[in-house]
Amino acid sequence: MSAFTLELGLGAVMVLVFGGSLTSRGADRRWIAWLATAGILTLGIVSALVKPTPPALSGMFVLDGLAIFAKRLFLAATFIGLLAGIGADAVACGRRAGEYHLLILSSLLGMLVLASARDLILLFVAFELMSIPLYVLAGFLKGQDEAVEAALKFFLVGSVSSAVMAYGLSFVYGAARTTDLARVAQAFAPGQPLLLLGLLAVFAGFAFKIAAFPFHMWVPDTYEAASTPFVAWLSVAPKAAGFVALFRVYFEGMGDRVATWVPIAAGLAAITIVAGNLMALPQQNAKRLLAYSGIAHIGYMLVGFAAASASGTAMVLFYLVAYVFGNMGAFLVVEAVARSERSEATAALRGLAQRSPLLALAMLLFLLSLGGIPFVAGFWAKLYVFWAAAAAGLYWLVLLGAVLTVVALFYYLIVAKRMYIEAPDASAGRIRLPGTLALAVILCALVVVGLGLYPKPIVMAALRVAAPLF
Amino acid sequence: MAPSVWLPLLVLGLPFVAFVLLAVVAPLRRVGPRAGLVSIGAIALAFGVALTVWIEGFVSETTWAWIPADGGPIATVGLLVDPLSNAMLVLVTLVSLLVQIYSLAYLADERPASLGRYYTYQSLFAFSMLGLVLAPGFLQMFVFWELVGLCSYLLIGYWYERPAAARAAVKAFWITKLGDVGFIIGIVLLWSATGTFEFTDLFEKAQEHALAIPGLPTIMFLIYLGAVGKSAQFPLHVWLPDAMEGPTPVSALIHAATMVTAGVFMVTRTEPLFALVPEVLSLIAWVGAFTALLAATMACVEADIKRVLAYSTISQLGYMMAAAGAGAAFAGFLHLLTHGLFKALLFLAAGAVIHAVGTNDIFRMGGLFRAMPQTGVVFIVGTLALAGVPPLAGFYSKEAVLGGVWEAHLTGPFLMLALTVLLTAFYMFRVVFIAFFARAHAAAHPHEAPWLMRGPLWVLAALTVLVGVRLALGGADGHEETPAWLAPLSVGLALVGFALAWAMYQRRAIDPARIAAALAPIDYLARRHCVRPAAPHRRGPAVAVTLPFLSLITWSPFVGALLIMFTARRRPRAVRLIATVTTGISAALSVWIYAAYDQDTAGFQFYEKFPLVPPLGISYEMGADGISLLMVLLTSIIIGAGVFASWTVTVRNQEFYALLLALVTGVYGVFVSLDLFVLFLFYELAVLPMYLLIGIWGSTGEVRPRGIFAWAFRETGVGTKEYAAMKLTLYLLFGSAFILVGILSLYVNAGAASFSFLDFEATAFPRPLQRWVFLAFYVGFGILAGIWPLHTWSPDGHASAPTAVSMLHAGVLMKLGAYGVVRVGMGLLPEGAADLAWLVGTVACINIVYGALSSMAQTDLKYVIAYSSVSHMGIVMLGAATLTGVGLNGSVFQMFAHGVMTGLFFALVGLVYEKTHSREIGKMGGFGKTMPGIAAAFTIGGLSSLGLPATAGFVAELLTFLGAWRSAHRWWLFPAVAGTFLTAVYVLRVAKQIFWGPPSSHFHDVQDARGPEWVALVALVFVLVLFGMVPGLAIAPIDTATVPLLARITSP
Repeated sequence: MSAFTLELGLGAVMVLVFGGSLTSRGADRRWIAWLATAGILTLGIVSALVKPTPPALSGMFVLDGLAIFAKRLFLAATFIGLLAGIGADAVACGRRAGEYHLLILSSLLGMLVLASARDLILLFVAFELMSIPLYVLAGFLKGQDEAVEAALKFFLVGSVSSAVMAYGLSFVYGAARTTDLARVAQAFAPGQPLLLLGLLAVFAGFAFKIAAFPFHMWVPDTYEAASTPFVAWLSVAPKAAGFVALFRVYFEGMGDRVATWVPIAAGLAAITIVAGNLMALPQQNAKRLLAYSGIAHIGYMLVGFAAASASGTAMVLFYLVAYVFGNMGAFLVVEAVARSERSEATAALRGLAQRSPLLALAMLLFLLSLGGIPFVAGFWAKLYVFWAAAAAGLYWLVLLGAVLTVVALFYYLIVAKRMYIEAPDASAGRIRLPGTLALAVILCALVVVGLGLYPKPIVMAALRVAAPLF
Repeated sequence: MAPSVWLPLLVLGLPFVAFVLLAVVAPLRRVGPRAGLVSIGAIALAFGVALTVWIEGFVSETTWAWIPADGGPIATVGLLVDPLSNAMLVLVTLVSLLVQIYSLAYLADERPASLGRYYTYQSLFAFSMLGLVLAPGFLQMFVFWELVGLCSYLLIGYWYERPAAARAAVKAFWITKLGDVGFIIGIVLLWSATGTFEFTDLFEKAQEHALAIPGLPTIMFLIYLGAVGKSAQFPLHVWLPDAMEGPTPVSALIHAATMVTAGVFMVTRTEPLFALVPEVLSLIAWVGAFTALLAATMACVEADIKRVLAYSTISQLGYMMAAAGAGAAFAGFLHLLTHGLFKALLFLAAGAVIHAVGTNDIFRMGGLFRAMPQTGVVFIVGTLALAGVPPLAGFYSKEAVLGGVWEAHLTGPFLMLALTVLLTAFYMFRVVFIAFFARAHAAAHPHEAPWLMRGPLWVLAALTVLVGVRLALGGADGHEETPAWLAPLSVGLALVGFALAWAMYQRRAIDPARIAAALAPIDYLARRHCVRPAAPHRRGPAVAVTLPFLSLITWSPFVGALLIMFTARRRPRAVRLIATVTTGISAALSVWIYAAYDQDTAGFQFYEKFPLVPPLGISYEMGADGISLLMVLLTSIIIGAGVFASWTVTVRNQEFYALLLALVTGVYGVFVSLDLFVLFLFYELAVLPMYLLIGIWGSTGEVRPRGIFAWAFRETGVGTKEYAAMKLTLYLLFGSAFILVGILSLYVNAGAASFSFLDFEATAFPRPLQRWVFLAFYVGFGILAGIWPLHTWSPDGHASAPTAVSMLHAGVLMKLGAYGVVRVGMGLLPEGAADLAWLVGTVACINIVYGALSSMAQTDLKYVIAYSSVSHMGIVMLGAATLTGVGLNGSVFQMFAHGVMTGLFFALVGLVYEKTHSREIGKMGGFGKTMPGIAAAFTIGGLSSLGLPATAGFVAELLTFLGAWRSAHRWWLFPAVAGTFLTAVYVLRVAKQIFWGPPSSHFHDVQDARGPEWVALVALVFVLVLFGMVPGLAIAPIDTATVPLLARITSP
């Protein structure tokens, strides 16, 4: 198999979808969604067979363990995101279904390339390939003012951050005289202000993409305005891609010099955790709540990043897996309820346990996972990043993070309270949801519980792929 | 056994048998008079045996170990038989016998069940008083001292529907308890200095001049305080007149002849010790004399015949104490005996009068001598004896007292006592003239009392005369050489008193009103301040046992939870059955391992281990030592009771039981896990279901949050069960964040590839690390233990939770916190613990006092109990902080005792709530009548809560106090003891408000506990009393665990 199997495969799926959208007629174009989903599922199965290959394109493109790990994760997230969109989502299944799926698939292509990029130019191009379709997708519901506003905001902030990143890359090139990341890493030494400045500017660009504080402003508005299955995917996949790129640029080949990033990352982690959790407290809209809590989760992953060690990196990867499924699952339950209640407020979840006990149980599992409670995936995720940080001596950060999980539990439990303790409206009956959405929720729940009970395989895999970076 | 041992033992045992019989066999108790016959029969036999013992003049001392400890028992129980106790045995059994016979007639109109209750108390009293008299050491004396106080409380409040009686009972208990606080501190200090409670040891030391302890005067003064309360010395005399609200025979027995003289008896018994502290002795004499005079003046103006006699009793007790203080203890004791006879006579005669006229007011009597001549005669005999007229008994003993005081050159007290002689004669004859000889009132047609009442009167009158004659002939054994002028002086003074009374009340030659006006300021002061009711080593783990007991115990409820979740949908009976069976399995196995634990091998037993996540060193490792065993047992008891207590949960009961059982698995898991990581997981499992349990099945009271929580809850409804649930969950998870950081830092620093407790224990962590990790564990686990100021979740949580959850929570979950601090914190970080013990102990003291004070201020029933938990958990933490063997044992014992006790409380409160749907104390009242079972159980729980001997709470508190005094911070003892007193205040206040007094108009047809609810109550009360009586049952295994723990902490 070639190093480009997945990218080529994805290209094929895109061509199919494109062709399909040209030929289809009528308002119901659900089959395009099915086609895209089936394509991603096939790619996912293929990705399970992919083995690491030697670097291609004179070292610009690598397919190592980390890249494969990341690509599988992107594909899984995309599969669930698309699966959830089939069924009732007018956006994903309507007249513009071809457009919608092509955009998502191009963004996914950007991610796949990003995970393998070891060249500054390729990295930047992949980054933009991933981002630009997202701006369009955020404003996909062009008839709604909020969607247009959110898309514009997203686009402007995103463009500025891309500009900053490009600016930083030029510094890096100027100082290191190469675009090969491996040689940049060799050239990097703490005594080079120009290179350091460039890398910091690039860091800011990444911080925007992963939505760390204070680069998070676009998140809540975008999440609130865009369609929920897309948001579920947006909230996890690009962030995972951002982290993989961070590891590539800042850790790979750096050796002992990774210590340079510890104070910056730790500081950023601390601020992000505090800000994300506190801002989530007053939220009444479930999507905004999840948006802010997502920011806090990025902070926790930065705790693992701040450990600047192989185990820290592995733990962030594990965290990403737990976060992808937990967070998507939560968004999808919100979607299911919002469909029936026409409201995305947390209040719409009132009495869910008595209306649809299984849906409520799934939501509870996702919330507990996000909150870091034992027996679900999120607990191990938090524990592992704290552990890595403690091993790196960052006790203060661990304590801060641990204490703020309590704040996070507060708002998660508010949601749990709405579902379990409050009584439903008398007229409210069982919530009906399409089979594909239900399947997506069940898949997320199974992963969250499975990883909670037996995290070992993923942890071991993450440790294996993270080790060569150092 | 020699007769000199078993005969006194028989005297002690007979009333006890009668008590147990009456207490347990409810049908017998309910028939009333026949129950009385059982009690009378027992006491009559006891009297016969006591007489034999006295005549034979047996002397013996026998002791048995009671509270075991390393290197000999801390405390013993036994019998000290000597002339002093023999005389008391006769007096106590005799008066008890006569009073009980008398009561048959006096209380003939009572309901049979009430009468049965009366005789049950009477038997308990006789047993307690005899135990006090026979006590060979301070500790046993204190135990029975408290028990007689309890009987007094119960009997004063016999007519509990009367608000005055309820108030008087509580007042009597509080005020005597105040003195007892001094008494127990004194005993602890003395033990700490000498290492013994035994009288004979102490006397030997005193004789060898080996008792030159610094601060002995203070110690003896504190001990004397106990006597001040019990024997109604100024200024703690105020309870006695109010105690007259009890039935008259009770006043005769307890508040005249026996219990109130316990203080005098104690001073007499320990005279060799008091002789070492002359300054305290003269204080005793002065206070005694002053009390005698003060009470006599008050007796002069009372209109209530019983209150006159009560003041008279206080006055005479003053005489006895003055004699003891003057070094003439024998004289005081003689007066005690004679006074016991004639004062009982006076009270019983007064009872006959009250029985006949239906009032206590002497001004509404009159002309009674004609209507009831026999009573009149015996009353006058009693009066003459009290006034000190020869040849009656009182004359000789009083003269001996006066002589003793004079010989001791205590002129001031002598003059006061002499003046009192005059006043005594005056006030007694005042009563005689007004009640018996004044003009009769038309309305009443009094008649002579029945023979059952007259019989005892005549017996006592005859004895008063005979003893007097015997003393006259025997010359009082020539014990005291009194000056020749003394006898004429005292008789003369008595005659002046008589003449004055005659002139004022018979001849009406002097107007009492003018005298009274002249004495107005004293009267005012007395009324204002005194008369009005006062506001009140370790070896390796043993080889794995064939069966994984600990896993079975832990997971059985969890299997139950799964079964309930998946099989019992909408079948409440199946749900309960599964819950009962699975928790039953755990309970049976925990009793089995408790019994099977090998105390000689000690260490962790029933060891199980298999790797869970080998690369990280996480394994499923379980083992139990003495501490864990007791905690597992406690959990089983509480959950067993909890399942029954929540029998009536009907709303979503499938989910309820599933969550409850899951929670219990978490609790068991924490107690037996030896892998810190797994322990942490279990900890979370124990905390989280709480959120839903409280949030869904809780009750919303009058809670109103303030500050940030109010803001956070602006959406969800302020002051609700949801608020409480959220607050509790967040506080506890906040704590778990600290625990997690602590565990991780240990793991990282140990460099060991394991989370095993045993591996950590073998690692010596650097001291600075120990200090801050201990602090993290202290804060983390401490939150769950309710340490101040992080306790605020606990009252809200307890109050809002459903019954079974409150029980589990206060009973067991808070112990998880304390267990964590002791096992993980102190066990792994001995140096850190030693460095921070000052903090732990000081915060514990704040907890004790703060919790108790908060409890006093609550109006919501559940909050009272919830704050009492905060206070009691302070005692647990204090015991641990003392870093002494006794203190640690006390700490663990208190965890157990408090668990059972609070479980009981919450079960009761739950029942009351269920039946009334109210938690407002102010609205309740008089439930004792409608729910006697609940009232009785509440009283027992309350008594354990305030550390009453013979309940588990006492042993725990005592050990903690002893530990506190031996620790580096002796002052901890005082807030701790003060806390127990405050506990008495609020517990009794609540009991009085809810169960006593007239029935509340707010509630109708409230019912007593029924069926399964009884199972919970009876089981908990049984455990509470069992472990109080046989503390060795728990202390022996605890000791195997605390000794090695302590060795690690104290070794350099």
